[in-house]
Amino acid sequence: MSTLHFGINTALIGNYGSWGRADHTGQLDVAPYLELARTAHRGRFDFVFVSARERIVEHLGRISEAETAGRPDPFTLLGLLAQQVPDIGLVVTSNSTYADAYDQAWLFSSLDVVTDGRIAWNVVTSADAWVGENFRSGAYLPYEQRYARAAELLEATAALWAGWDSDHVTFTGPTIQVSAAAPLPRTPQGRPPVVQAGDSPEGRALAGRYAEVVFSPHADLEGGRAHRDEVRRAAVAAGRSADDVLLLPGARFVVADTDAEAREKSNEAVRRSVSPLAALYDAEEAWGRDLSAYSPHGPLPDLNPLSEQESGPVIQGRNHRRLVKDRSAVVEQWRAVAHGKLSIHETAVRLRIARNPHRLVGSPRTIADFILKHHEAGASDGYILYPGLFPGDLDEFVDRVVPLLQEAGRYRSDYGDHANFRDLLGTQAPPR
Amino acid sequence: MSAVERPRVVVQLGPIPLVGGDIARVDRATVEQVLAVLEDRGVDAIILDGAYGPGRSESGQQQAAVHPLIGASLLLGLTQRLTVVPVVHALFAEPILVARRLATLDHITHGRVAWAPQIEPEERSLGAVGRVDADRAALRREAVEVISAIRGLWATWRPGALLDDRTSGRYIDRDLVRPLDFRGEFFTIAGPLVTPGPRGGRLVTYGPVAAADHGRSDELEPDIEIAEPGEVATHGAALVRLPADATGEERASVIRDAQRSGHGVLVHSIWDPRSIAALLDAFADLDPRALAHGASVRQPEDDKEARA
Repeated sequence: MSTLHFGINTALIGNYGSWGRADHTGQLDVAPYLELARTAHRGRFDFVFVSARERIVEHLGRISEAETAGRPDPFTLLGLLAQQVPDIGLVVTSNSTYADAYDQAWLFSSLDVVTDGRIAWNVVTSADAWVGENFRSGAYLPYEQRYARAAELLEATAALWAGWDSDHVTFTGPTIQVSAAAPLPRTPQGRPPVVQAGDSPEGRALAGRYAEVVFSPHADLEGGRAHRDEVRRAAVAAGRSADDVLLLPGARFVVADTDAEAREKSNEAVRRSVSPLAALYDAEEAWGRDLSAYSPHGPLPDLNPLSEQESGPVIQGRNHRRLVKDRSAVVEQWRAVAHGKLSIHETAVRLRIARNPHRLVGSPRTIADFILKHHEAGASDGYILYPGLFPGDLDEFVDRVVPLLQEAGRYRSDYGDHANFRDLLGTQAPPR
Repeated sequence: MSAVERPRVVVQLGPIPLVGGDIARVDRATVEQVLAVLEDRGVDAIILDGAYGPGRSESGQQQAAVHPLIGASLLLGLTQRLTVVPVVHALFAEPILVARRLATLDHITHGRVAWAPQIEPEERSLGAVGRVDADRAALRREAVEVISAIRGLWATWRPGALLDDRTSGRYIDRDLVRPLDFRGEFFTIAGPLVTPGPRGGRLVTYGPVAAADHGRSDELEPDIEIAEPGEVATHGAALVRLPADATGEERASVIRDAQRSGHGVLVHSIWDPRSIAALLDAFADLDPRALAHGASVRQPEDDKEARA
């Protein structure tokens, strides 16, 4: 049985509501990242995952005030963090739609050098033309072309990474032309591992060809197994070994002494993270209307929702926008939960709690058993975890769940003498 | 020191040294020894130089270089005191990404980063991005436009825009964050930046004295002007370049003159701890406090404007 793999997702680290202690040091501080990376290192995790955003989130056409601005640049953050935390892999999210191939190749090979081979590239594609307005090229690609462009960029960068021994690297594709000497000699990993999160057929095909880690939305047994089987088949079809791509579902976790306590703790963590303003935003998303005249502590609005066509997009810039097909049904759900008694805030909290599957929520034994069972069943190779509350829940996982996985012989006890991040993953780079 | 104060001694170094062999790795022993010497001798900042991109010239000579922004994150992670000033090749920069990279370094090091934007591209760099045939004057205008877009993005967040109101859950004051709506000759950028810009709204800029650059570096508006010996800085805060081939006596004279006129000194060096130590010995006879000014380079109006 292969070993389990874990990454820690830092996406909400800057958010006060997701921080479980009183000592939040502000939205822009590096200290929480360092603390989290050190804890993950103690737990022998494979990597720290840093997401990216190219345009600030807007709500009803104005900047969302419920978001935090602590979205650092992953390249420089992780280049610095690597000097202070050893061994652990570092996953940089970088958009393939806007990147210049030469610059991208140079940045990643430079990072691979300064981290001694601990870097990976989470390849994402552009969300929409609205985000493209922030770029010189104004680039925006129709959906069908985004993955073709991503593949082209991966090929162009791979050519540059392998091209040191020739005087000149030439790459000619539909959107990328390079004709220059490679920036650096071969770096520790040569070609940093690719992480891929797209769940569409095009995304899964790209993953089969290039990805060594797939960040999957399917943490349930059936969904995980189906996704893993499909990606492994796609890898084989691309001439790779099925074991060279790891499927890691994203999963929120909360650890406590008993399952009941963990559920209570999880619900409390959700409650903390849904501020009154966030609750009002949720309601505005449900109704498709400006509800700023309503108090989040008062009753639900006695209004009919607007359709998506009438309201236009309520939220822009979030990576996973929930598509609302039928607002009337959503508002009915709000009314059913509120039952004429609950406030907007309380209703939003309960709806978010209800949306949260309690998968990795439980006692250390329950969580370990869940992970081992899914691993055995071929539904996952591990998880990209995010804690119910930063940073303490990660300590709980590392101190109480990890030893059970190690006892089961399914997880490493130390980093050993692996040469680089890819060695830790146990995968091989796709053929060129 | 903070990157906004007047530096007394700055050392300009080439790309991060790599060890030989088939695989590129940082020569960590050398980097750490050099940083120890710089810290020991009270050096304020490092300018991290390097051409854009190609690791070898057309004649095949190897000049492999770590990207200056990544090199800066390495150095900033290895020292808690020095300011690092990466050279930024403006023409090739995507403003929204480079603005955020530099702002991030500023946030996470509490202000230990400045920048040295470079307007003139090198020929071999143009090949890397398929721009060899482009009109040189237009390329220069484009580079200047990139610099102003980056500065514009930094200024989209006003002081006080970040909130910590945990009762209401309001974390950003959107009235203090403006779009950029940059419309230049070459491109448009909507903005604002995704994160706040550097503290004070803008990073300290290192650049050549306007006169030395035929009047053109006015476009750069450097906060700290790099002057040749005898050259007059136009804005006041300057670093006088110590010529590489100067004799011991000439060095002492450049340092004394700089000291007298209230300027700092820029020393060029290779990544070698002994050479750097020898170069910095020229400062040994001088009281380093005599070179210290402590005054802010930033003009007070800037801060006022940033709050307006």
